[in-house]
Amino acid sequence: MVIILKNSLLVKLKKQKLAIMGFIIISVFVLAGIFAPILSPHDPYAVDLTQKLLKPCVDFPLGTDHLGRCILSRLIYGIRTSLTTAILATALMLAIGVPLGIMAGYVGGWLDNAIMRLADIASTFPSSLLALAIVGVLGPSIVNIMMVFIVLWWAPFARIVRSMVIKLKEKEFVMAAIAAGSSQPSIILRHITLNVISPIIVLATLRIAAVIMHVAGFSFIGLGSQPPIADWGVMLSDSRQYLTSQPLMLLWPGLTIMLVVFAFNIVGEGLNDILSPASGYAAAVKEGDEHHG
Amino acid sequence: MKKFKFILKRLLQIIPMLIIVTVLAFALSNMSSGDVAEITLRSQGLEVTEKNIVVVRDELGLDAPLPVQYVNWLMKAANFDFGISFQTNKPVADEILSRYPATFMLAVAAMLISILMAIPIALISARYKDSLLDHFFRIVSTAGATMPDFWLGLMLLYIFAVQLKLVPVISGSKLQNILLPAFTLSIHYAAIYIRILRNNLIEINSYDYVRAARARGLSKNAALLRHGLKNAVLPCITLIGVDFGKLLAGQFACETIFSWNGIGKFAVDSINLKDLPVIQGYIIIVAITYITINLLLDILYLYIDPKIQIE
Repeated sequence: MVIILKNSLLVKLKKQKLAIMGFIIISVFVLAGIFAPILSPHDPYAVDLTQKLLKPCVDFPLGTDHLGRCILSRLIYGIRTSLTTAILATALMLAIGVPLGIMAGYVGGWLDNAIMRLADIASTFPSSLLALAIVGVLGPSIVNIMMVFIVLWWAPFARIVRSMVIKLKEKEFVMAAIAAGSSQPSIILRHITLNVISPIIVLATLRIAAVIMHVAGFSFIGLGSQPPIADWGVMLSDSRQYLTSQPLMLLWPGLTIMLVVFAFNIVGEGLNDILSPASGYAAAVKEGDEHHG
Repeated sequence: MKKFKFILKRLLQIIPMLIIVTVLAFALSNMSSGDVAEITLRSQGLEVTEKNIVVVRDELGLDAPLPVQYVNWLMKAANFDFGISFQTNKPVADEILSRYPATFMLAVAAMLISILMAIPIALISARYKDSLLDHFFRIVSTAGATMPDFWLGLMLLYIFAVQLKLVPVISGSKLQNILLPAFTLSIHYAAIYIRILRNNLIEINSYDYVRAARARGLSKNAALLRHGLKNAVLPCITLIGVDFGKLLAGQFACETIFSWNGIGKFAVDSINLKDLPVIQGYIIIVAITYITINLLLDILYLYIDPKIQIE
C-alpha cells in the first residue's frame, strides 16, 4: 500500500516537473514575443539579397532566408503572430462556450436542447470545409482562419460547463443557497462559475496548443497569414523552394512550432493531474459541499 | 423498432448539417469579391462588355431573388452539376471525381500503416507495462501526436528525396511513391491509437475473467492476445471510421507537399486561383462523404456492440 502511494506521488511530482518545464518554456516565448524589438538582432522584414541563404554566423545566428532576412528575428516576431492568434481565439471560444454552457445547464428545457444541437453540429463539422468556405468568401488571412476555429471549437467548452452545472445544481450547497434566498445570478456566479473554472483551464491550455498547430498549417498552405508576415507557417511554406540550398529554413520554424505545442500540452496535462477529480479537485468540491451544507 | 427509431433520428439530424453546408457553398458564389459574371466571361476568354455581362447574368440567373437562386443552385448541385472549373474548363464534378481515387488510396494506405504500427506497439507496451520500452513508446507517441504533419512531410521529403535521392521530389500520385505521404499522415493517428489501445489492454487485463483465465494457467501473452486484443480494438472502430472520413476529406498540406494529385491539393490550388465552382463542388462532395461515413458508422455500431445505449 505504502509503495503504491509513494509511486503515485513520485509519478505526480515527475509530471509536475514536466509541467513546470513547459511553463518555463511558455514564459520564455511570451517574454521574447513582448520584447521582440529588443531581442531580435535584425529587422525581420529587411530584405538584403546580397546576404541571402547564409549559413549560421555571428551576425545571423540561425542563418538567413531566400530574401536575406534574419531567420532568428523572423522566428521571434513569429511568436507575436502565433501566440496572439492562439490566445485570442481561445479566449473568444471561452467567451462563447462558457455562457452558452451555463445557460444550457441552468435553464435546461428547449434552450438546453437548442444549444446542444448547435454544439453537436459545431463539433462534427470538418474544419477544412469551413476554412475553405470562409477563405473563399473573405479571402485568405489569419483572422479568417481564427474565425473558423472560434466558430467550431466553442462546443467542448459549452459541454463541460453544462455537465458541471447540471451536477452542481443538485448539490446541497447550491440548493441551500437558493433556499437561503440568493438571487439567481449570484448563485451562478459564486458557486457554479468558481467550480467550473479548473476543467476549463485545462481544456483551454490544450486548445491553445491545437490552435497554434492548425493555424500554422493553414498559413503553410496559403490560406492563413500571407507573406511577408513573420509567421512560422509562412516561413515553412517559403522553405519548400529551398530544400536543397537552405534546409535550415525548414528546420527552425518546425522545431519552434513543436516546442511551443509540446510546452502547452505538458502544462495542460500537468494541470489536469493537479486539478482533476481524482486529486485535489474532488476534495475541493467535497470541502465546498461541507462548508456550505 | 428501437433501432429503426434511432436510425430515423440520426437521419433527421443530418438535415441541419446539409442546410448549413449548402448555404455556405452557395454563399461562396454570391458573397465573394469580384463579379461572378465577369469571372465567368474572363475564364471563357470572352470580352468583358456590359452587353456580355447582361447575357451571362441572365444565363446564370444572377438577377433572381436569392432564395430562388439558392433553390436553382441546389437542384443543379443535386445532379452533381457544379458548373465549369475556371482553371481546367471542364465540369467540376468530373475534375473532383477523377482526383478522388488518389485521395482514397492515400487514406487507405495511411490508415493501414497507422493500425499496423499501433497494434504491435500497444501490445508490447501493455505486456511490459512501465518498462523502459513502454516509457520509450509513450514518449515517441506523445511526440508523434504533437508533430505537425506539414513539417514531418517536409522533413521526410528533405531526407528521402533531397539527401538520399530514394524517391522523386514530386510524387505525382503514383502508387510506388505512396509510402512517404501515407507515413506522414499515419503518425498522428498511430500515436493516438497506441495510447488508447495500450490503456484498453491494461484495463482488460485487470478484469476478473482474464485473471481467472490466467489462474487456470493461460500464459500472459496468450491472455493478452486471446482476450485483450479483440476487446481493446472493438471500441476503437468508430474512432478509426471517423478518422478515415477525415482522411477522405483530402489532406491539404500533405498532398501539396508531395504533389499528390488528390482532391485536397486541387482544393488548395483552386483557392489560390479563385476557382469558385471547384471550391463549391469540393465542399458539397466532401460533406456528403463525411456525413455518409459517420451515419454508416453509427448504424454499424448498433450491430457490433449490443452494449450501446439507444437514448
